[in-house]
Amino acid sequence: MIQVSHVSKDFIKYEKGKGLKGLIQGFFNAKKTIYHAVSDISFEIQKGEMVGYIGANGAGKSTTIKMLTGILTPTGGEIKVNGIVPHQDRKANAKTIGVVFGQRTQLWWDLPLVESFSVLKEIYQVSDDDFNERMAFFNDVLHLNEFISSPVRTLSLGQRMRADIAASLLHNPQVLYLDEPTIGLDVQAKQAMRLAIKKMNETFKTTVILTTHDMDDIEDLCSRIMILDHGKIIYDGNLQKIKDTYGIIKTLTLTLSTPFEHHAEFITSFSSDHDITIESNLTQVCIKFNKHHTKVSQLTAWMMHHYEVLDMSIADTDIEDIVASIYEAKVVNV
Amino acid sequence: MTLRPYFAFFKAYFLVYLAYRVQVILWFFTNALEIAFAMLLWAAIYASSSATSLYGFTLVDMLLYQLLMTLTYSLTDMNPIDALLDDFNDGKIAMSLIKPVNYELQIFFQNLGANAFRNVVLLLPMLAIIIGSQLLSKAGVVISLMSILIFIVSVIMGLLINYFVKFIFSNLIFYTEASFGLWQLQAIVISLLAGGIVPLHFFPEVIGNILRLLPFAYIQYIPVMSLMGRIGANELSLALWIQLGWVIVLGLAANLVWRHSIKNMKVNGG
Amino acid sequence: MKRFLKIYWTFTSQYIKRLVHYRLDFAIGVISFVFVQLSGILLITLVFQQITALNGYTFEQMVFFYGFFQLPRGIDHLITDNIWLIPNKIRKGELDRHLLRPIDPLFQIIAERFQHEALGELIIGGLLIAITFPSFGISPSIWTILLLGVLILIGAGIYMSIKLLTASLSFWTMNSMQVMVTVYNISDFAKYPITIFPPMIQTLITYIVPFAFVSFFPASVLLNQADGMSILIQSFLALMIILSLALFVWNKGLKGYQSSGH
Repeated sequence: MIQVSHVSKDFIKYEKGKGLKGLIQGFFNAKKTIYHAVSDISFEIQKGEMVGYIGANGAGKSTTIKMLTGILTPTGGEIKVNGIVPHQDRKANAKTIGVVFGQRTQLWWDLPLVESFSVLKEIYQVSDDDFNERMAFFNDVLHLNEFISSPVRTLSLGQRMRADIAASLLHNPQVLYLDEPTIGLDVQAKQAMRLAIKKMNETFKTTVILTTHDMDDIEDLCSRIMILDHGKIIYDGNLQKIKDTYGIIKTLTLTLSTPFEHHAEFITSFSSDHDITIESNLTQVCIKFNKHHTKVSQLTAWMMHHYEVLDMSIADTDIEDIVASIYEAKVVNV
Repeated sequence: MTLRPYFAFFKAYFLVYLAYRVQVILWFFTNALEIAFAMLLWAAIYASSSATSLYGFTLVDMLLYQLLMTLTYSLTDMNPIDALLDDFNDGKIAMSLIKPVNYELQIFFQNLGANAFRNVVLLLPMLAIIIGSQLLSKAGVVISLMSILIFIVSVIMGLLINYFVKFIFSNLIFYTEASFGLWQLQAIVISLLAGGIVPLHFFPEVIGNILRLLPFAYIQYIPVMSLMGRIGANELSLALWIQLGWVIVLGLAANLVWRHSIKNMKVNGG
Repeated sequence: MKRFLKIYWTFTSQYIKRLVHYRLDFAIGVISFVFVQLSGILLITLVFQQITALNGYTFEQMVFFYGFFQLPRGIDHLITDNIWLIPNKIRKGELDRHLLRPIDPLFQIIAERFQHEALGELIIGGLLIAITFPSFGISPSIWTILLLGVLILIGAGIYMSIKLLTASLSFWTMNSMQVMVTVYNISDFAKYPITIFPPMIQTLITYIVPFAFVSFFPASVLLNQADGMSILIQSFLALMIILSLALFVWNKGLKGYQSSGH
């Protein structure tokens, strides 16, 4: 359904000279640097799959999505979505895709929401029956009728995102691209979004490609995950496997009442955990540990035994760390 | 109260415009084009007239008038609406009110920085043209240290008047949530009443007298005419006092309007 | 085609609905443009207190040319004003959302805005023509009137093409807005009969930036000062040239946008 083979994207950056001298120099002899946003990536996605596409900022996610949607031309390689080459047949491809950008709305700022949908109906040539059916569906899952007559600019972020997702699905696209769709949303809104996506996928076999920093999105929706790092795909496979293999490092952050001074003792006490690290800056302490080897309760007990703990928080491995671990593993494996 | 932070705003916007120097240079050409248009039109008009002077202005006078009007327009040009509109939409006004900096002064100095840069690009070439083309001597205009000093003082007051008027207007636009059309209307109206389209003494006497009562004539017209030596000594000192009067009145009004705006914003949410 | 009309109508009707709601806004918008036009007339009036003819043109004729100019410009302003936003859209990377839809991005951009303030230009233009025309003692035939309708539309098309051409420059430079404004100011020369200006200016606005075709030539036709057929052919030619150039540059820029990304 979606075939990407050996796709690369290079951006040419011109160095701007400093000051007047630089300006004149730049005119005649601009220094070019080539930035490889995406290098030789290949993958295939079948109809109905829900794939998470993650990586650190600047890894090349947005670039890939832009190439898949046809608004950016690849420097090398081939892309085929449903048999169409996106950047060559942009309009044909556009009819079959839906896109949601978390940061920007696709709707018209000043139009009441219902009118935006009217326009979209015409643009995508949705039949009256389909239109009514789907609008009813959207209202069911996303409760659009609450604000259907309001201009988009008056909507809250949560409302706007729900509207955007409905708008992207109105024409029953074959592929749905979601770029940070739940960013800034509260829990209820996030759940409503995910439910709508899941239902569309179940009913219409909509292929979903999701880029996000929110691991909960991934966990709820995707079974397959691709990790991008510096323009290359370093992992493409099952989500559960990754979590079991790499998502084992947790971070415990503590604020103490007096500066931390027991590094040596700490390492000795927890020497059984090879992955454990501790960093401190006066009263701030940051401990990274392997959750299979060390329990949080052990750490907090130890800390409270030696210090007065004012505050603490615990976090799961973030994507950057998973990516780093995977990268290291790949390097080691090679 | 130290003025140091405000000079920082001045410098910041000066540098912003420095970065956009190409734009400013293009803006210079736009101005040049506008002057060229006005001059060619007037040349055609004077060519069609049997008399050498219209309403007391010869063609040379007219050309000098146009140049000087453009010059003073640039010198007094302040656009508080840009900053206000941006900050208003971004909610930055609310943020700025929390900082220990007077927002009104901040906006003023930002505009001044922008104004200063534009003038550096426009002023020097224009002065070169005016002096080089000997328009001054051809028009029989004598420049003395005194007349330059008076011009500078008058321009400074004109700038303040222009700023306060535009500032008040910007606030009104927020109130009425009126369209940008209102801003353009205001620009044209003020330009007209300031003598930018037609020298004020071209208007019939009745209208001319009314215009003399409004502040707009004191933004550009008075400084320019004084430099051209067209205002007698007695009238001149009266004109300067009226200018000062308007500066004070409008300054107070601007402050009042602003305080009202803030109150409004606090109630409705900025 | 019907689809395009439906889409355009949705945007426009919504805009009008909103305006009726904000009646003050509507009125102010129209009034402001009326005022802009009137100030130009004011200049002519004051000048003609002292002279009887400008380069052979009487007061009524000058006002007539001025009024006629508002028609094609007003139509263009009414419909395609959103082209002014193109430099901003490019700069902020907002073209993406237009490219993601299966409809021509240029159409989307134009349809999104209906600039009601231009009605002020049309009203004044119409009024000025209505007031001054009777004094010329010319009774145009039906054909002439139809011809003029066509010429006005062609004029609007030329105006739009020039606007699009300068706006498309923003694919390559950040400063195209300034160029747009400069070129727009050149059109000032076309408000009056171009023969009052030196030959160099006349060449500029006839062959380089063909604003003269927008109104001076058509208006001259109405005054029986120029041959209708030949002006029609020339205007049409001018439109074809400038429109193809504009679309070419626009599409070229769009392609470049897709390969360099924003």
